[in-house]
Amino acid sequence: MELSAIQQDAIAEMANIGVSRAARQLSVLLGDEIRILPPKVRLRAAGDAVRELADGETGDIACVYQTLGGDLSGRIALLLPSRDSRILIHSLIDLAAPLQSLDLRVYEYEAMTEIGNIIISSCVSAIADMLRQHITVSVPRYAETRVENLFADVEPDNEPPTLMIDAHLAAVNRGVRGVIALAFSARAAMQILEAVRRITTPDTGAPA
Amino acid sequence: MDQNQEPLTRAALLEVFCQEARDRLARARAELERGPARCDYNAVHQEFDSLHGGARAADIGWLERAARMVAGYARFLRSFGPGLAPAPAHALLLDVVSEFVRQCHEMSAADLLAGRAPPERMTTLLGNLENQLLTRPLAEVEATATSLCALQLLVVDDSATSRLLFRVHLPTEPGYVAHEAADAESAVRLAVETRPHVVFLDYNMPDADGVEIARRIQAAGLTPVFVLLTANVQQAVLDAARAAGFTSVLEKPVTREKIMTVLSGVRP
Repeated sequence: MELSAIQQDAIAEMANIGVSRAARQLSVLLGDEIRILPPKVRLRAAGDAVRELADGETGDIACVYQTLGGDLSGRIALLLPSRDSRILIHSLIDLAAPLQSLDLRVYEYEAMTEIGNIIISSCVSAIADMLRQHITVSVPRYAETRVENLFADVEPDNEPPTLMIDAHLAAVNRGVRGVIALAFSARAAMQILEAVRRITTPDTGAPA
Repeated sequence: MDQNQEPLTRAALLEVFCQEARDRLARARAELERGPARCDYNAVHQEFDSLHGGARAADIGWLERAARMVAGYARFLRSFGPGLAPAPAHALLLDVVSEFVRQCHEMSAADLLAGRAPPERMTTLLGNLENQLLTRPLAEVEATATSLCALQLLVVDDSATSRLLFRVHLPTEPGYVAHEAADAESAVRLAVETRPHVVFLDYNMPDADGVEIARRIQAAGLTPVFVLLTANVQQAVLDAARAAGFTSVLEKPVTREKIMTVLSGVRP
């Protein structure tokens, strides 16, 4: 199964709006300009999609992930190279440090989890509202792992196509790079395509 | 009032006035007994404003002055905004009004006709009111009010970072006291202990979501202003929060400007 050009474009635009909202929140957190590359949208068998996402990432990455439920199931993650996650965390800690006597190093993982939660939640909110769906997000988890492990259970049988969306973000001055990756289950992918169809089909005005 | 009026006519007038005064005072006390979080101070003010008018018409000088003072105090508490009047100030007003109710219950038209002075306890209470508000320069009254009514905030979020960021961005001016809780149980316990004016609740937490915690706080008999603290601002979440009585949303990441915007909405 392939996405039509209209479907591809509509989902990419929806993702772009979601990621842009996330980027705005990241910009507030870092006090930096955030650049976004156009999101990539793919309908693939889950294993293939994850391999494509992992392409070029040879080692462990720092990530915060949340499981999606409600109307659309799947998983979303903020992925950063470990070095960049440290920069991100310290941007936040430096903000608080002058006012705090605590050893803020204990907050490192905690801080990364909250940053991820903010970025992911704002992205999901925008997408849910555009699709007019209710998406629940689990409590955020922090992990240092490989990309393929992160999405392994979105479609366990690896057969039905998974809708994978990813977008690269970069903080211009701090040199922080990251990826927001979304994997929707096959069932969710069908629902999204149907929602996109409804949104992109002009109302004919015919009586119900 | 014409002092040469027929004694019987004036007595009858005072009888009607006494009954009306008792009704007004009972309504004002009932309103105050709803507590500082739920009291409609405008209603209290109107009862005493009317009582003041009646006392003036009936030419009862001490009651006219006392009613005016209490009406002014109720108006002062109203100025803090719904649910935000300081508890000690509310308690003082309730004390005064309760004493009013007792005295008016005992006081007859004959007492008023005879021009008997108010009892000593009433005079003391009114003196306290006057002391607090009416005889001090405005700036001092405002300073007293500020210290009395430091806005009690409760921030509930399982993320220590989120709570830290809130603390960092909370305005440093006097007038804000922030308490923190990381889970539902401690949130409800702290709410009962500190009786916050405003509760900021994270939506997505491990043991209960913010809407559920708000319900538990309400079940404990508290009626603070609830503000949703979240980055998850999808419409379904906002609708659920609104249905649960949340009045606004503080979108993460918090900034000083966002906090000020929310607080200015709950405090005039």
